[in-house]
Amino acid sequence: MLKDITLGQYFPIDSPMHRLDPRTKLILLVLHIVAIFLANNAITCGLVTALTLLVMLLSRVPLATYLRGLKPILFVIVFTAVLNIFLTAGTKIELFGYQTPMTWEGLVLAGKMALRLVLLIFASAALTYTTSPIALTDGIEKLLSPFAKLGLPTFELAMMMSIAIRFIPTLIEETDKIMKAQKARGADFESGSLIRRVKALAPMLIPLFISAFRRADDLAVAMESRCYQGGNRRTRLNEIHFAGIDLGATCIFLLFFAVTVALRFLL
Amino acid sequence: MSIEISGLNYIYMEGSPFEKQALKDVSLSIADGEFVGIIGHTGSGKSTLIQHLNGLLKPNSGSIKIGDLVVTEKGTDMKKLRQKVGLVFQYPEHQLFEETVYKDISYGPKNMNLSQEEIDERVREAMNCVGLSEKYMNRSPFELSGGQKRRVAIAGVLAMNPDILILDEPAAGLDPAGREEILTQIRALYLERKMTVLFVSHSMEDVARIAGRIIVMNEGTVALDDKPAEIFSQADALRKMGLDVPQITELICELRRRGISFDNSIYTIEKAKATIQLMLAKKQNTGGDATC
Amino acid sequence: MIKTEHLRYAYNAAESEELKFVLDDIDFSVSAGEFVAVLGHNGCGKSTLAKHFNGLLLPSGGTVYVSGMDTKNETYYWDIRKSVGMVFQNPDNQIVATVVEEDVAFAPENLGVPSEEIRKRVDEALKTVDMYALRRHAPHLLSGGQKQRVAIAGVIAMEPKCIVFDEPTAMLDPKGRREVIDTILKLKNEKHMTVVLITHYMEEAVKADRVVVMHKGKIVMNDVPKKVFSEVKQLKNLGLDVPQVTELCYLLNKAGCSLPNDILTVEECADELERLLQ
Repeated sequence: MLKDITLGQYFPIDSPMHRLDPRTKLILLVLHIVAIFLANNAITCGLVTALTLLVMLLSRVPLATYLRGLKPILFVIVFTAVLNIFLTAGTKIELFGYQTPMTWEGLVLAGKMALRLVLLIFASAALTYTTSPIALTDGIEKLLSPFAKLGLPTFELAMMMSIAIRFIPTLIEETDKIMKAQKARGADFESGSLIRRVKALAPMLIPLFISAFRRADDLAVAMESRCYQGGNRRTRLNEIHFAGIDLGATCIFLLFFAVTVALRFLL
Repeated sequence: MSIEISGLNYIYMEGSPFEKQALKDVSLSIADGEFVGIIGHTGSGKSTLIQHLNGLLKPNSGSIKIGDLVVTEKGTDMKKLRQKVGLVFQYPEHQLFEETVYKDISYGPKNMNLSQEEIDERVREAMNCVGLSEKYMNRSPFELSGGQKRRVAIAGVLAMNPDILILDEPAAGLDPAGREEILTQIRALYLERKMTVLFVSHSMEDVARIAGRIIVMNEGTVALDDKPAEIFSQADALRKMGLDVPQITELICELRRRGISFDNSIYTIEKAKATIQLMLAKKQNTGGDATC
Repeated sequence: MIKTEHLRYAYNAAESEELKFVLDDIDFSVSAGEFVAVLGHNGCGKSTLAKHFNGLLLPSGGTVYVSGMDTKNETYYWDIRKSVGMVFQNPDNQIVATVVEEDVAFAPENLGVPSEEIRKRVDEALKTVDMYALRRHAPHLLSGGQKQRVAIAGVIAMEPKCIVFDEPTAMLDPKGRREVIDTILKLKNEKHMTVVLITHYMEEAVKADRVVVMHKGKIVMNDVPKKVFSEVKQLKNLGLDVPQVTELCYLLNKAGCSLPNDILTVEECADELERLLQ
């Protein structure tokens, strides 16, 4: 159920990917996603696939974990693929002498779309598996810091994000508990009309909100006790540094990107 | 109503890296009207076990029979089962949600589609049972003290008139006076309503005071299952399972170790006091110079 | 270390209501290196008192001094927060970060401590609470006792002189409770920290140097554990427990025995009973 979602979980191990500056990873991910969508022929598709696989390999996260991350969106991939196969105009596919509504062009397009989606998921997962939420929010904060001068509360935004991430598992657990407790009192979340079902959610949502507010209250007091005072004077346990490894990674990605763009428009 | 469990297995988060066999081949039978204490440390499987009894969790294998109702069979009416088996979760006050105490307690009976008069009756009765005065009926449950909130939540389950009442750590987080009150009330409730009660706790002292039979869970299995006196005489085994034994049990163990013959099934202060007095009296009769 | 003089506190009551004092004329003090337990049932004001020790709450009347600094004086605001750390009841609600060591680093980060120094403090704090091996773990996968130890490490890393524990074991199982109490004793004995433990478990208060019993916003007892717990009847009237062996001796004495009334541990009790029975 809710607990099965592995996308977005951090893997606390050490790898070259883990050692990269989160800012590098964020920028390169954006660059890579652009490349994935630009890739349109066998060679460019091959290139972006190779780079994605290289990144996955370097992350030292088991392949099975990546594959499990696909599960929640498997339906979307299959659905778009089927639509593409049937709805694209072109040469009809013949099977056992019968003409089917599927087309060769559709099959190719479906394959490309599916590949893009899968690569997209893998690449994003490679970021979240190798970057702790704190490092990630740190990175986002640093990248947004030019906007801080314009009055954007970048530090507060980053803090909010990391606290949200911290409390997701806690709140999922809590939801599960409250749902069970209300079920034990005869609540029915699964049957009836839509309106009935929405109404049935109140006994679950109200306690959940109350508990979330209580937690927020407690947390605020705890943070205050630990001298939290906003972002100005803060230092970091792990300062993020743009190091040699980041430069290397950036060069590799830029090279791949240039080749992909060139091949797309030249071939 | 009786409970019949046989060969129960449950695997938690099967197929994930967190996979764990939470229950291993658990077989138990609890007779109608018994008061059973279930103890074990966190992760021993006690909470998993009780969630099976009203169908909140489905076992991987094994069967559960509540009265004549086979819970593990397909197509069992879960709503009916949950009326019969009332389950009070840990920190039940966290599940309160209505504007008034009355509305909250009536949530269960309402889900049973009872008539308004019946619901009224049930709410009053349930409040009475947990010792809540009727003047609280129209108050918001969120204005009450911690102990009162908990009683409202327990009343919410009692209002469904279950035949079996299961309480998961009903005294957790309460101070000694609050704990005493809740335990006394549960005991009174048991005697008055003649229901089967399962009392889950990690406090040996609480369980010792009120249960007629104790089941000790450890690593997903039933490690011990006996009368309190028999259970407490195995203090070493209990300590090995990460459980705290009452000080009195420790004292008796220590005195026995020092060569004073003591009945090792003593586990309450009253019993210990009576025994010591008896021993002193005996000693005096045989010409000792005891000071009592 | 901490000293209160005629401390009174009232929550902002509605105007129509009479001002109700949660704390009423409290004179309390803890000296450096001392371990004081504050005992009382729920609602007696002990948690409100604790929140005064680092300026989370400010007195309505009277004064609170932390190392001589008046908590009402704003210039000492951060100095007071820094010298008195707080550990709260619910371990889940005081952990900020998604990795153990990052959470422990939170306070020194807030104080602007340089990175290398933070690393040193974090490692040392985690070793003190015996959680160093799990430093890269996600806090939500830890047991209650482990989470609470992480919270303690987070406070140690701030390097306070005193730590106030506000019912740190109320939500834990016996194993977690033992872990936390052992950690507290270690802080007192090995790190010579000043400790204030707010609790309603008498078995924890027994281990303190001094026990303060609160009732209805007032201090009603203030003495060494042996003296406080010998008042079995008074404690029972206040809705508090005494150790089982203390109660046993009390009951035997009432029946005419002459056992000492300040017995707290199984060992002491066994010694006395052995003498009596042999």
